[in-house]
Amino acid sequence: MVQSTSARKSLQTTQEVPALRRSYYAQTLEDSQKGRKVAWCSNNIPSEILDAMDVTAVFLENYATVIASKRLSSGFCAAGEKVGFSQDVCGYARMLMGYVLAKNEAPEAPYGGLAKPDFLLVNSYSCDSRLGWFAAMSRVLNIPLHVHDAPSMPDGASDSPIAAEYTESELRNLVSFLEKQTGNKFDPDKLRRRIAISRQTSDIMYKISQLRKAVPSPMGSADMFTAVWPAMYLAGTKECADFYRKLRAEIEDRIAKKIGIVPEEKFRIMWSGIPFWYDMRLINYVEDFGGVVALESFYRIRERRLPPQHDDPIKDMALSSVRQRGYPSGIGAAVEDILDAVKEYKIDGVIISYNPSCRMLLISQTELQKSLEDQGIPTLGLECDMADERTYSEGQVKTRMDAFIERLLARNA
Amino acid sequence: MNVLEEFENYRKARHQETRAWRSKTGGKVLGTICCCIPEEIIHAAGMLPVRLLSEHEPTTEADLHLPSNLCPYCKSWFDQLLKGKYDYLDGIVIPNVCNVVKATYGFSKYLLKLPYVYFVDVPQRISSEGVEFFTNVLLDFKRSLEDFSGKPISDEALRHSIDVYNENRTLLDKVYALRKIFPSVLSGSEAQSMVISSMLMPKEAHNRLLFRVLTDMEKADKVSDKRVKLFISASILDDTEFLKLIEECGGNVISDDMPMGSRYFFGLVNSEDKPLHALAERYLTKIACPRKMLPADRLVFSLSRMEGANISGTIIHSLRACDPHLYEYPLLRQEMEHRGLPVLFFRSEETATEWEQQKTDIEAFIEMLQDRLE
Repeated sequence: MVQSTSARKSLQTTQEVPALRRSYYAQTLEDSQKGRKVAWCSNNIPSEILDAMDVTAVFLENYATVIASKRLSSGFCAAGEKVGFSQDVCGYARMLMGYVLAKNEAPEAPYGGLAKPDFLLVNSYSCDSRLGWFAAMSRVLNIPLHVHDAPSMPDGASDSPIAAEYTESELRNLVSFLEKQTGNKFDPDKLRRRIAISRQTSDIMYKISQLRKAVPSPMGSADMFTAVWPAMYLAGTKECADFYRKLRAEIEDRIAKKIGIVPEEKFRIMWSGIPFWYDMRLINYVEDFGGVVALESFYRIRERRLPPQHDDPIKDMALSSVRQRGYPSGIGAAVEDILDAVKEYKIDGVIISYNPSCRMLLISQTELQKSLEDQGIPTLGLECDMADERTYSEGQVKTRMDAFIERLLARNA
Repeated sequence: MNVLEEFENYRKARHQETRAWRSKTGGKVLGTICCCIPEEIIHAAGMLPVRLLSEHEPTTEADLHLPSNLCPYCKSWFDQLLKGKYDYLDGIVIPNVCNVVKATYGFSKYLLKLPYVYFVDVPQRISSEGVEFFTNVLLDFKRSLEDFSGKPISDEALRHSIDVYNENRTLLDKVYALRKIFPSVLSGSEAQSMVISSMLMPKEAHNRLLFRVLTDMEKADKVSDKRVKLFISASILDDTEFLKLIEECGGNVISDDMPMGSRYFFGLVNSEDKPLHALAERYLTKIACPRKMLPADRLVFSLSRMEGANISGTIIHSLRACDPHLYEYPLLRQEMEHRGLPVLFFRSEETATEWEQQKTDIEAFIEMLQDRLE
């Protein structure tokens, strides 16, 4: 019997996510059996394009979080390490390499395992792990790999025509690859419709982000870490937009009725970095002391999406992604962003999660923590892998949380 | 002075040497990282590109801003910049390579008081579209250097710089080729010192030294080399300590796949093509960096570097937390072993305290290889 590791949710709508997720994985297996092409993807592969091309997308990072949440990560990570992947490398990748390369050594896979892939799609621009991980899988599984690139643009959004042209050519390359693999013809109208739904969804999520500034907190991270799932994996579908409409209505209702997460909200925390998927109940821990993790660094939609930038949906995607970035670019902007969030969301303290195997996020954490403390905002640094539970000591973490909570309570007394 | 000592001495005295160059010529000095910045454009602007190197001493200042479990190379050079050891730099140029290097661009702008910090957005996929994009990126880079120096960079100056750099690559390649035939005349650590100094010294001066090396190599007694012939595939090894350790244990690295080795000089820039396009083509498609190049192509590169070297074994070395190399390791090991080449693997921070353990492991590995040879 697998021990429950899920955070306790306060909202009704969020509780629909596990069923959505189960049904998504069941659907991928069914699609594969029916002969629909299955792509194993890294996050950030635009699922709207895959959907418009009738390709079933399976996002491996998400499956890794499922494994971790079922407390199966140590077995999968150990299997990955046994075939040569160092403990330094991404916990998600190690687990999935264990799944692919050392099936006999790894535990039984959740949801009946993953649908068999016909090809692999990886984006090369966000993290180092993905390219190496997917290249290794392509060799082992002996299936095609398509690498999808985009400009890095570390100074943030711009009107650079060369960046837009390269983004567009890479999106067209992705479409060509999919046409070749599936024999399906690309339908721009279908993509346009998907993008329109994605835009609507994003704007609803922006509104939700604004609503979460309310005191008492109408929706904490215990709910949001789950509620973000449809946006990441069902993007561009009606089901996804409907989910967030319902969520927004519930949040509005809670604000109107002044319903918070705890009876009397004494302090508000922000979680910076990836949570520890194998023990999401940790997010609820502060609630026993009158606190709430009211915000997380990742899933806040910072601004309304730009309106369509072009009639051609591929050009629209390219121009939109160059002219608007979802996250702050570079450490200077990241510091400014977190200090603004602390102010806007009335945050009393920040938990800085150091996920040692995720270099992309890890690198900013020390400077963020330093900048917050320099401004007098209490912080707690917790170093645990996001997926590999062997790096986690519940007792030690909670002792440190206790001290942090005391500091916050004393400050607000 | 022996010409080989000149390389090593220059590397050791690089800060004084660069300060001297700067005050003598009045030129600007730009720090660079990784193999994928076309140094020719900096050279054509009349500036000196110098590779930022790490030190084996523990970091201090950088620890206030950067976490542990991070590339020790990046952390070390950033630490030195924070401490003012590179006080002669007019700027730095950071390429789009791995996450940590990429992030150092933001950190440099945020924490270092340098007049010039530039990011070269190198594509992360090797493709013809990537070459076109990169050509435009390099055009922006050229314009930025022109603004910074206040002087235009002509096509003629670029072509001249391409010729000087191509000459350097050709000479280094000749030395490497000779080492495969006559390994006794130049050790692996001496060859590495030669390559690293090329990243620090004005190229014209380096070319003059390389001509002397080749003349000396041709004249040298070709005695047989008793040391076990090895190949090394590594991430960043930016001084000669590790290769010297191998030599102390009875091995000799005959050829390599290292960013501070073969990868730096492999592949000429097409001097017949338009300069920026030719540079984009060479720097994107020919540098065998695992952050962009897929394993099958990387293997072709490694095997070509090994060819004719009569290698007995391979050492794979990755800095701790160097993702591109750590992902490649299991497959690379398999490929080497499949070809009958035993493998010794290190994941290291390259601190002096690690060398004792490494020495023991290398000694045992070489002993095993010697037994196989007998």
